[in-house]
Amino acid sequence: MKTAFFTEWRTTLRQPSSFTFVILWTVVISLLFLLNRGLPQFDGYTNVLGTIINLLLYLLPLFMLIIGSLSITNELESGQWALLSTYPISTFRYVVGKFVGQLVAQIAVFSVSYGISMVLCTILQFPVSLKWMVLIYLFALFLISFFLGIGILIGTFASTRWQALMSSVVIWFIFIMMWASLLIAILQFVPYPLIANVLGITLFLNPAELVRVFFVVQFGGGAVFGQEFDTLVTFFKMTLSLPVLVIYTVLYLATVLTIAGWKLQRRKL
Amino acid sequence: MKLKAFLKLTILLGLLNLFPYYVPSVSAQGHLQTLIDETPEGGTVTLLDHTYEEEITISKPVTLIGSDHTVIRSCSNQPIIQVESDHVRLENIKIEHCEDPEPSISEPAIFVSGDNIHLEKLHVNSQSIGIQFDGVTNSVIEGGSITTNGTSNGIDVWESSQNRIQGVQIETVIDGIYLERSSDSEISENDIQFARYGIHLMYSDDVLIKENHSYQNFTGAMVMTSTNATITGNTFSENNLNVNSQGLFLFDAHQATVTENTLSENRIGINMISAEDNSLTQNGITSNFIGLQFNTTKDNLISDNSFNGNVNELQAVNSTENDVERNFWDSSIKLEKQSEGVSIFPYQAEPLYLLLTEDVPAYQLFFDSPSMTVIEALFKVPKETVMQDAYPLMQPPITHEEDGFQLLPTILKLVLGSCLTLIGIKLFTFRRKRI
Repeated sequence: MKTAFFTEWRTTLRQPSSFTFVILWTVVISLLFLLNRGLPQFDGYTNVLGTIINLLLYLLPLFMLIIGSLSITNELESGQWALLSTYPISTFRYVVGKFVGQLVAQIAVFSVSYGISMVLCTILQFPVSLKWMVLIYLFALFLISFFLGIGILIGTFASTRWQALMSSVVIWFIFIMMWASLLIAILQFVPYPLIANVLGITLFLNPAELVRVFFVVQFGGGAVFGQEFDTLVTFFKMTLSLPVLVIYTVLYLATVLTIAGWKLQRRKL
Repeated sequence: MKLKAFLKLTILLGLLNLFPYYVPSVSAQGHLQTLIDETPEGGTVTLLDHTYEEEITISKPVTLIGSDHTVIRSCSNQPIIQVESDHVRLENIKIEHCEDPEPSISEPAIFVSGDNIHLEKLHVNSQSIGIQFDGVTNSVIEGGSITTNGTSNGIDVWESSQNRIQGVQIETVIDGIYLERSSDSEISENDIQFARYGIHLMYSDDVLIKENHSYQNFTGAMVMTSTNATITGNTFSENNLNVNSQGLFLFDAHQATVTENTLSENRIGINMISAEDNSLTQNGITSNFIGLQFNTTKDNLISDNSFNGNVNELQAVNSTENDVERNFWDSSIKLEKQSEGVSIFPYQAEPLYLLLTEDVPAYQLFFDSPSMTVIEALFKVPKETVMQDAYPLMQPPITHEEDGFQLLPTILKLVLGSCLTLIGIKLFTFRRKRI
């Protein structure tokens, strides 16, 4: 596990693409902060903040899914996986090692970019409050963790890099773009009194929506979700909810990685 | 010692000379009604830390002053304090009804029918109406608190004018402050929660509603069939307990001035039905399900308001002749023309979420979700419900307190930014040399 972890971490950060990503994120984040230019610094939930959250939701999951799935299929295609299979290592440990290594690398890339953007925005005096900066960073970290995990899972199912890329885009499209329409279509067949409950449960299936709702509540916009989700919003407002979200993230990722390990084990046979 | 005593005596004599007649002060213990009856007009009854179990009627100008633990309690179905005279002052008293599991008490805790009455720091716990005014003028209710069993009004004012209700904490009531046919009054700095209507005006003209905080009610404030109300500096928030909830409800209201109020987290920020000639300016309308809703209204001016983060900013039915312009809409597309402070794109309210949540309110969970862009493309919005602001503002007219340069957050941001960069770089270079 340790070897897989360090190898993944080091090789990812040594690739020129990681430096491209640093530039990409720095530009994107600075532009997102720039959106708020000309508006007074406002701590609550605003439309601009909604836009920032949405743009991050478009970009981060897509890239993370692709990076995660390719990191597995790369090794499968290059034959390195066949070589590794001859060693007595458990596939679960290998998958976890790869995931954590990739996670550290991506967090490194994102942190450098975010840090540079923060300093830039502060020097150029864009009116973005400290609370916003911290919460947006945390929001991004959660997105990175969730979607890298899912990406790794996709990678274990795909047989080629091309397939991995396409599957990533499909999953991204379902989770990010089609989620509302899909649920509205499906929920037509659900008895009316159950709709709110079913919606609440589906929130926990799609990490993008869960993290989004959680952070909108943290930004003080909980009221926009309406009466039906009052209990959930009240719970998210408590300080206790962050550790609960962290635990949920760990459990979700553990499940995803276990499935990934299991799948890879079957492919080994 | 002698000098001190002499000084005291001189001061006392001097003070007494200031008054044309001797004002006796009675310390009350025992039968309260008898003591009040024995007190001469203009006298003061000082109550002790004691629970008086009786009802009293005040029919001459006196002052009743309680101390920290003075309680007047009653279980019978008549007002605990009935004020029939003018120039009565009640201060610092707790007034309680007994617990009444079967609602047998229908009379108010305090019933006032005189003029120039001053009620200060009264803490009323009533099983019926808290304080009722009937035909009262020039009177004041100041400070203190009122709770009821939740089926009566806190303060009920009937055919009274020129009164002031200030700084009272009211909760668990039907209407916090209810004014009917009571003009020329002031309601200010009150704190009202768990009510049906926090403040409710009926047929009452020229009323000033100022700096109240009305929250977690069905409706923050309701102005009905009244003219010339001034509503300013109030906060109406979290009034969302009912499907018909709203922060401020103007029903058949005319010439009302609504300015500099904060309306947040209500189901509807401001709801106007059959209201005409009102002016709504410089209000902050934030995080409501519907910011502003019109129904059959005309000739209202809506200008210089700031709409932030509302699920639906504006909805209108049969209300085309209103003057909606120069507001700040958080969700509008903004492009400035020659630094006039106004965007060249008119703002059109899209009732997307209204249509979506009409049948299933739970779909509100998708508010601002990235997947809504797909749905937006699918929806056809009926044009007749769309209202527009022809000149939306580029910047909110209300400035927030956090404006201006603050040293500490700036330093924190710089430090945090640099730390993140350094940690990231450290992660980049970690163990690199070994390979």
